[in-house]
Amino acid sequence: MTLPELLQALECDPALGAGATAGSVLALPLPATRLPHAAHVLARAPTRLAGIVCEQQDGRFALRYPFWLGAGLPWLELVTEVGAGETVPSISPRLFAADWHEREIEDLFGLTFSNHPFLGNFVLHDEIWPEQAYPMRHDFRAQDADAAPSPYQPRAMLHAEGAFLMPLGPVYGGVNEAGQFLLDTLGEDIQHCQTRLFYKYRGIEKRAEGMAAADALLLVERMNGTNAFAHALAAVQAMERAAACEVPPRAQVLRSFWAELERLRSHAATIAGLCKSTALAVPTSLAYQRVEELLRLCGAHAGHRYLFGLLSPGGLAQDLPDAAARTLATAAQAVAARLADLAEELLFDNSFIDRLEEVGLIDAKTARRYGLVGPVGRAAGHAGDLRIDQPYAAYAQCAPRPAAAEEGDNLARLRVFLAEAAESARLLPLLAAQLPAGTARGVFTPRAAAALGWSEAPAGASACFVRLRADGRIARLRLMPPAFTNWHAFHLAAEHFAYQDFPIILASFGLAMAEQDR
Amino acid sequence: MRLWALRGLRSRRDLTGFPRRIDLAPGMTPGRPLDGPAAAAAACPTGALQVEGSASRVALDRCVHCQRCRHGEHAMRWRADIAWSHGDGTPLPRAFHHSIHVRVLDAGDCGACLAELQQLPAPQYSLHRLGIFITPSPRDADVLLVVGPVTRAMRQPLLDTYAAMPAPKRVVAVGACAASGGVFGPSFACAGGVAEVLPVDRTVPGCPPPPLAVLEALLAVMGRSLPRDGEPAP
Amino acid sequence: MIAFLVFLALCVGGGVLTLLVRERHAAVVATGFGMLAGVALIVSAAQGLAGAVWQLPLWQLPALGRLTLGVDRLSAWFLLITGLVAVPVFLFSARYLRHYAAHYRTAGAAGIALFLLASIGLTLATRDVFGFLFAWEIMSALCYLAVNFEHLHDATPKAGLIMLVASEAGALLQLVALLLLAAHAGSTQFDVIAAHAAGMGAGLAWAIFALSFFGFGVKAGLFPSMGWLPRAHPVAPAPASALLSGVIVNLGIYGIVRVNADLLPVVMPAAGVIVLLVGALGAIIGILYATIETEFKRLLAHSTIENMGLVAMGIGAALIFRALHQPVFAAMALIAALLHLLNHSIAKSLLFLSAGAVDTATGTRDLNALGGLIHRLPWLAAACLAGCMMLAALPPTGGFASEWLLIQSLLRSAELASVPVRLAFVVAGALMALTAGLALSAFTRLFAMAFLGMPRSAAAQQARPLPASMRGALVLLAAGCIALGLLPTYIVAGLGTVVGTLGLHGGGGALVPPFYAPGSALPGDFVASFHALGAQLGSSLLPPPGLVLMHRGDAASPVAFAAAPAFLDIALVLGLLVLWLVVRAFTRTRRLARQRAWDGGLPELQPQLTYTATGFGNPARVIFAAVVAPNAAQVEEQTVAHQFRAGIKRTERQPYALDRWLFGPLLGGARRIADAFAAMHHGKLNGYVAYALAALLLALGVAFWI
Repeated sequence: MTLPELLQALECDPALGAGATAGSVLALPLPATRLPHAAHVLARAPTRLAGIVCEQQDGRFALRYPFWLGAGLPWLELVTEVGAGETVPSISPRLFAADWHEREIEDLFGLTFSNHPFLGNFVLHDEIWPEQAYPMRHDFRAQDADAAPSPYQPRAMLHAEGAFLMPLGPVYGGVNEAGQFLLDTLGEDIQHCQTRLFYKYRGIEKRAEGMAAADALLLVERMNGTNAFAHALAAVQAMERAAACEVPPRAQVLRSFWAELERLRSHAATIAGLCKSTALAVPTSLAYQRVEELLRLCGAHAGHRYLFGLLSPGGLAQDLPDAAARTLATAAQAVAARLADLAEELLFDNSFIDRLEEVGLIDAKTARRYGLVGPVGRAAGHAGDLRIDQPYAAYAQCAPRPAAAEEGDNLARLRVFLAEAAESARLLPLLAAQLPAGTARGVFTPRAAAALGWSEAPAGASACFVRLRADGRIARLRLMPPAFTNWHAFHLAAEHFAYQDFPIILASFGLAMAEQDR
Repeated sequence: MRLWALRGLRSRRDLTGFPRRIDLAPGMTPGRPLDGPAAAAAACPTGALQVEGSASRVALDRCVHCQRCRHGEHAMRWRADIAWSHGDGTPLPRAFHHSIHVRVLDAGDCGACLAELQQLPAPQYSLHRLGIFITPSPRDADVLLVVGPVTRAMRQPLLDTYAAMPAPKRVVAVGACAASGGVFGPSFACAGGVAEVLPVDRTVPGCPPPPLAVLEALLAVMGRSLPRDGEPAP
Repeated sequence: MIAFLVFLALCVGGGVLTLLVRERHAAVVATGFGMLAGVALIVSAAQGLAGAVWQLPLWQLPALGRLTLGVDRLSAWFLLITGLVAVPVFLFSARYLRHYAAHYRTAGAAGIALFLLASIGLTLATRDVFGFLFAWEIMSALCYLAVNFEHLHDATPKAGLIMLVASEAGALLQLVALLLLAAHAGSTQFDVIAAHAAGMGAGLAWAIFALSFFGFGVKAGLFPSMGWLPRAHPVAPAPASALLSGVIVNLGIYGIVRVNADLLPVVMPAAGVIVLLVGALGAIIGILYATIETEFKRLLAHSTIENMGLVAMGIGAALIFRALHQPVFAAMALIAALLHLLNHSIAKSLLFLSAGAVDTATGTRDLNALGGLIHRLPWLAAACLAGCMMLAALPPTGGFASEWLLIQSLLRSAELASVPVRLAFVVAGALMALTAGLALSAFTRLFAMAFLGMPRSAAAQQARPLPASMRGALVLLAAGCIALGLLPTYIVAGLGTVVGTLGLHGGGGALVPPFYAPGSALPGDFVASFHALGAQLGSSLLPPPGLVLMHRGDAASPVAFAAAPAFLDIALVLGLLVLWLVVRAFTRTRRLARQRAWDGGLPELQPQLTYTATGFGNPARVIFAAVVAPNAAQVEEQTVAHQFRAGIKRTERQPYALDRWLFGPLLGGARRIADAFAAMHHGKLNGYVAYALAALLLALGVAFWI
């Protein structure tokens, strides 16, 4: 479907799209009542919903629905506005990927979505937060959250003779993130899994409001500390686009370089987690050994093992000399090669493969319906990579080769993680070799404007909307991380498998709860 | 069927020398600011640098390793070391000298501190050789290791977990968030540190603290003697 | 004899009186007479076991021979079980029947129960074919009435009818078997038949064995005709269920033993193998269903099938050993089977009464809706625990002794020569081991799901206390469970005389000697050879002797089985005491802190977040899916608000495997045949005339051919 055809189907002027290319954002203002129709059209086109941005502007609420299209095409952004007491027509019956986004906005802003069957008790748990607290509203005061909450009422989804809920968390297992899974079961087999997150809701978006752009970046890094660089990259690019700020070419290539190194380390950690979930002690140790080696490489060359504080608006806070970049790339490649050796041995171990194969299934249809992103989506035959579709940093001249699988099971996900780790290792020396001369530190002069930024984080497409005030401080920061998209579908992978498969399925998704909760 | 045990024996050994000696391999720790000019304090986003006369003093609990004071014109001296932990709590009784069980609790962590804790059993650190074990049940735990700024929803689970542990027990707060709230600070959603909720026996600052810093704190809680700290890095 | 006649008089008189007095006194009157009758029965049985056997010829009936009453040792054993069960059951029913008073005439139930007791006594004490069959039919009919008491419920008449049909089908087979026996002997008197047993043709012997085994097997709930048990038990009032499982299934076993070990001792090893394997199949199938069942009484009914299977295994082993000329082992196996029968009757009537008590207290018997009853009904919980331990074969209860003996007697097969027979024993032994393991799981689940954890419904939360009479009945039976575990030695000695009369070995005293009794006739060095087994432990302190069974036939292995259950139990108690003291010594200085159960940081642990009975049994269901829930299980899943997944409704119906595979097709076939005959009724006159003609020609042809 070409852009003019799509615009026509959306009942917009096809001429609007003239000159719009990949990397640009095409805003389509439309009345709220036309949203469901637009969603219906976009759900059938090869488009992906990145999230929903809600902004309170005095008494009214502006809503943006950014969609990204395939290679060569721009972003589409449906823009609408509603008054304080009005309801928004829900698009999730037509475009199911919007389900959780609408629930989140309902909880945080108190906006009601008509036709959505489940609202409330999502971000703000009913037993923790009072009914009438909407933290993202401008008039919210901290003491509003001190009113009495509702009693605890877990709700069973499975209605059958002898069915019960098996609670897992929020405090469970060894070194785990805080989150809860309520497993609807008749014993042994999981019939339904309720993923209950937001135990770690830290109110990052609220706290960023009024912060200096560079300080807000520190917050974004700590949304998900293990993928800090990728998410901060999305945010910093949004700030730079808003401020119309040029980034030095050396910084662009270095950003891709660090992002790929982070992806390699993050995927290695996911693979290590998968080994751990299958209780194979030696592969687990060997994989974590690789992770530690990569962490030390980062620590030695960037000053921080998790690449915190490396990005700054306009460029990078710290340059990496050419020679150091080449050394680092070679060393990282050597670690990646050792990881690949381990993977090869693992893939010939039947006891390991048996736990993965045809377990935790996500079919292609589900992947499309939920708009899954990243390795989880790509392992279920749902391609899409922002580095290729909407190139940023240095990816236009140094494009990655996409990894893909069709099966959508644990094994397919493992293969995609392995292939992507190998691909990152391949890109590192290429990027190090083409480092342009010049400075990596840019100049950032803010202005009052808003923009969307994006990056392909290790877990998938990450988008960030930033509105800057004239003084360079943040008016609105909206984070739309990949985990939010993928956790939505996690429960389907767990369904109809036994308890003992659950940790493996969980590990194979490689998702961070911190990233979801923000 | 693979002979993984054999494979494990054949693989390269790179165990740290800690705790017999301080190990400061490259990239093992980000280090911490030591001292510098008063002007450096202006760049600090969390108020970890406090001006004292002409110099800046570091309140390590608040430092989030943003590295702003490491580069640029007002650069401070940084020191590569790991012995960051501090606390007033007494160590566990002698019976725990050689072995403890630790319950790790995530109270809103960004994932970096947890990732560093995940590295503790890795061959480079090999937590178990020191008699330290991570346990799923607070009933077996002697030490509660908390990461994160204590979000609103995790406040009660944190208290419940502490209550579920048998005495004697110690609480170790790991990371800048657990120490002071870090970048998240006290807010409507976060308590701003474990000490706001529970008595903390030992605090390991850092964002995140490297694995050895956590090991050092756990050994201190066990009452084991520790090597002297490393030399200041150039 | 007098005691038995008193028993009959008390039953009949009490029954008539119950029907005559005012409705509100009826239950009390029946209880009084029932308990007295039970005591009379126990006295009569004790006399019989002690050797006072009697026979009382009654009237000579035209064409049907003489009716004879009499109690021999075998009858006495079954009468003893009946009496022991009847006393607490009648005590329990006094108050239990009250909650039927609103809808039903309780006098009817009480009167029927008394008449039923009388008919059971008569069935066991008739000594001729027709008397036996008459008593049996009366017993079956009264049994139907007792089960069908709550007839206003939809399910009850259907279940009662299934029971009656199954019972009559079995009775038909029995009738043929007994008539063949009578025809061969030329007399209807049991002692005459037994005297003529030798010299019967192999074909006739096989026919009599098969007809009697599968015929009586229906009443005993043996494979494959056990389907009526889980249907009839849940709908019957608790005391009726207790009688059904505690006494009436025993009558099937009585019939099998009477015919195949007394009237016509089986000489074909293959017949014994059939009994053994049929028993093993019934045991494993019964316990599998018990492991996944969630209705209290239906679970118990499945457990009855299991235990009857175990008893049949013992009988099968006895028949094999006897046919292969190992009378000592045969006696051992039969002793084990009969002891297990007693244990099962006591425990099962206890548990059925417990089910009734739970029903009275909460109004439900669904294990998924119970839980936490131990806090409100501690006496019931303690009694039920004793019953559960008995059926799970755990010391210090009697179940341990009898199941241990059963396994020991199966192990004696190692001394047989025939390889196929030994193979059958191996298969049966493996199935029995699996059964024992699953029984532990099933009864752990029953107790845990009903009494432990959190109440899973308002009914369970507000359980009402039980009246003293119900509690008394339960405690009586629970005490019985413990007593049977402490003193099996005396009971086994009594059983030795029972099997002795069946001609299984030289004499009871030789098999079960008073081992450590003063003045024991055994040589001192022989006794000393058992010291290594620890059998003499405490012999000078406590009266119960240690050894249970032995034989002196073979010098290489003089001991068949040695165990000291009483000492074992005392050691258990002492061990626990020592453990408690040691723990206390170490923790005396420590402070005890009580915290709520660790729930993973939930705001509050709620009943819906804990395991249900279904969930507990599900692993067994998944593992044994091929037997209990093959792919024919009908699952219906319905998703509410499809893509948002507001809820999943799941209904699952699992017809019993045997019904689906065997009786379903059989009934279908029978219905098709009936339909074919029904098609002949077309209403055309000339057609009917043609039928008449054809029938006449056929009859003439048959007559000429003969």
